[in-house]
Amino acid sequence: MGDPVFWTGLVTLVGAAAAVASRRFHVPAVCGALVSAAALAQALGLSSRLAEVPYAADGVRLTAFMALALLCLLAGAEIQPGAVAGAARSLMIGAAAQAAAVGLAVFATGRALGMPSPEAALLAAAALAASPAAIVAATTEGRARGATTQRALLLSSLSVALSLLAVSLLDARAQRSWQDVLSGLPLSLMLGCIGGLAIVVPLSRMTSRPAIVACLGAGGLLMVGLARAATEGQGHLVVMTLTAGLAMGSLCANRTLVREALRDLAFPCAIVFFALSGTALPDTPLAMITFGAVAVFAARALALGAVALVTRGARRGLSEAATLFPMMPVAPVAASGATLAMPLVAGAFVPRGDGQQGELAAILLGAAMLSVVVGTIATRRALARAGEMADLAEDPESWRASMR
Amino acid sequence: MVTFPVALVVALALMVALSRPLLEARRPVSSLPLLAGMILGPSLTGLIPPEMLDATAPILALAGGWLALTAAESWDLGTLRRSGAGRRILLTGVPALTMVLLAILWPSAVILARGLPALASLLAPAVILACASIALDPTAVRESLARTPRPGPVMRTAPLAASLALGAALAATPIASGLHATFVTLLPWVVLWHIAGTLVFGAALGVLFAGLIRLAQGRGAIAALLVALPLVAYGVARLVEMPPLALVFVAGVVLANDPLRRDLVFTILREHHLAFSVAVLLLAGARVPAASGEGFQAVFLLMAASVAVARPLAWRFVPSVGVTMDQALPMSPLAILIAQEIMFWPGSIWILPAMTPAIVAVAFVIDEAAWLMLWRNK
Repeated sequence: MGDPVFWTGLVTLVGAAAAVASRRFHVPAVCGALVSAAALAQALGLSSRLAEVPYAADGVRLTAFMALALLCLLAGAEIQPGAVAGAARSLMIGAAAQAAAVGLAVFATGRALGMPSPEAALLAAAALAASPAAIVAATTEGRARGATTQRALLLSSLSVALSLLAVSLLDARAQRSWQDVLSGLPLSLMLGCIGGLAIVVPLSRMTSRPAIVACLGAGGLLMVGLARAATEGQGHLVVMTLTAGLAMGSLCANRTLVREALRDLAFPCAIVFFALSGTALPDTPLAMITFGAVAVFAARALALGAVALVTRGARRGLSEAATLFPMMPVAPVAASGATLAMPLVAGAFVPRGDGQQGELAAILLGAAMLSVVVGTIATRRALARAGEMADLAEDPESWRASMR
Repeated sequence: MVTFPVALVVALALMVALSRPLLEARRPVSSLPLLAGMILGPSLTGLIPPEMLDATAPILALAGGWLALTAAESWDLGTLRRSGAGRRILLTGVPALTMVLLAILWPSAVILARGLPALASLLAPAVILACASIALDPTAVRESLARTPRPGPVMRTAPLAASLALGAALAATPIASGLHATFVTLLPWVVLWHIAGTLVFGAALGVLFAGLIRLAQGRGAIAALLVALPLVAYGVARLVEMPPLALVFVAGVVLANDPLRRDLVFTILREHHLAFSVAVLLLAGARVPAASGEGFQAVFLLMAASVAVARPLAWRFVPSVGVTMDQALPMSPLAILIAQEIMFWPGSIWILPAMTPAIVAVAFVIDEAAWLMLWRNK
């Protein structure tokens, strides 16, 4: 009963059906997919079943990574550096301030939950990352366009890079291996550029939609392969694909066609990725996860809101903060027996950590799931308030049209 | 694990380098990903490691199922009734083709069997090989028909005939697997169980997904459901030990006969057909086992060549189906997956099952090369 094809199919079916149902209740589709898949996985003990069959979890993981790679390629391709060039300084200051505030708030929460300082610091470092996949899923579903959308995509990309850097630093400090600090982020950026260029060259010659989709699929698989190869060098799939997407969006001759093809792929990819991410929670007591996850989520949300209020003014600041609520479903992977290493793994694939490592991974995943569910709803509201996507309350016809 | 991205880069570079001249000649380049997969797979260079192939099982299932769903488009019962061609093709074309191919393949099977006791177990794989090789690619036939200046009424049914042939190839899988199981277990009802089970489970899945698709709002939601369908069908097929592609195809026929969402569903399926076709060929190519053993190479090449030569000739002998020589050449990528399915049958230890995917893969390459030459000469 550990057939990865069957479980991938069942989880995707349940996620897609829940997404269809949640749209009828005006809730973002990814929320339905994530919650229903998480409930199914907990009810059936899916992680234990997959662990029984060799390569089963690997098969599920590869499928989810493919979907994540395509989503992040879209997030990167949607970023238009020219549109926010004038606000580069405020963006950097905003990203740094948010990282500092979130880091301190989550670290304090971790300590209050009784974690030792190194684990609390790792929790804080991993909590820095906003999820570009969730943000791009929400913006694509509502066809959002505008400055707040661009800032949200850029800030989430910066937050992922900062999170990776912070986790690498903490890991290097624990293992006394500074090579990781030097190699992690630059390696990811470099591989992202190489992968992006490898995709751009054939993609620029293509004019038909099926050929572009085929090339993007091959590109997604290439990025997943590169990320797997770079795992020991602390490569990070999200950073790599965001960089590759940015290169595609800037250099590709037919970038409009490419973006349209990626937007068409975004919805099914988001359903597959978030449904499979929903199966991630390990078999840890739910009460402990829930309490810790709610605490981390609340600390993160308060910190983001406070910084946005101070730096950007009430209305715009809160809108921007809301777009960053979805937290990246990252899980620390045990690189060695003593420490937690890089936040490479998205969702479904928490290793079976024991003791505090397992608890930490479960809390982090719980907080990420909570953030994605609440955050995508908040993102949609915020973008509607900013006038960048249709609002159900004010203009129901446009809202329905945007959902078609 | 460094080898996997290297393999992907090599495959992409190979495809980009070779596809340009072929694209300029406006020819399909299906053999490229297949050849890339065969070269990079564990049986030749080993740049794609076996554990990576295990991990890509869901992606291959999704891609293969997607192609089977797309191929079901022409199984529209209304068109079949109106054209009047369906019965003619079903009654004359497909059995005739299968018989012609069996007449060629059967002696080869006997030679390979090296004795009568093994003959029974070789029957089902021989049927599979014959049927896999009659599987035409309806999409390619449709494109080929579009380039024909003034197609006659019979020729206009060519996509339908191609789809029926693919359907027949897929339908042969449960029949042959039932035959195989019957020979192993000596229980005759196993054949019926395989056929009825495939129809019932496939139709049930088709009805379930057709209902969900009717409820779905927007292309994205429908696409998400279409992603789930092949994966669920593959999983169910493995649980109940039915041929997965046939199950997906039956579900696709149900979707093709849903007038409300049919057009939208098949527009989405066709848009991503090329991507999944490349994925199937690349991954199926990597799974093709290496030829080995004494005297194996000669038999292997002989059978591949016989399949490649017999296919278009066989179609020429059945003019009622409307398929011309060059339309008969593009073999469906699913033929390789159909041939690979028999490797998972219990008791498939004979030489023919092991080498069947390789035979079909080589025939596929010869086939496309012949098509290319025919087109260039026009």
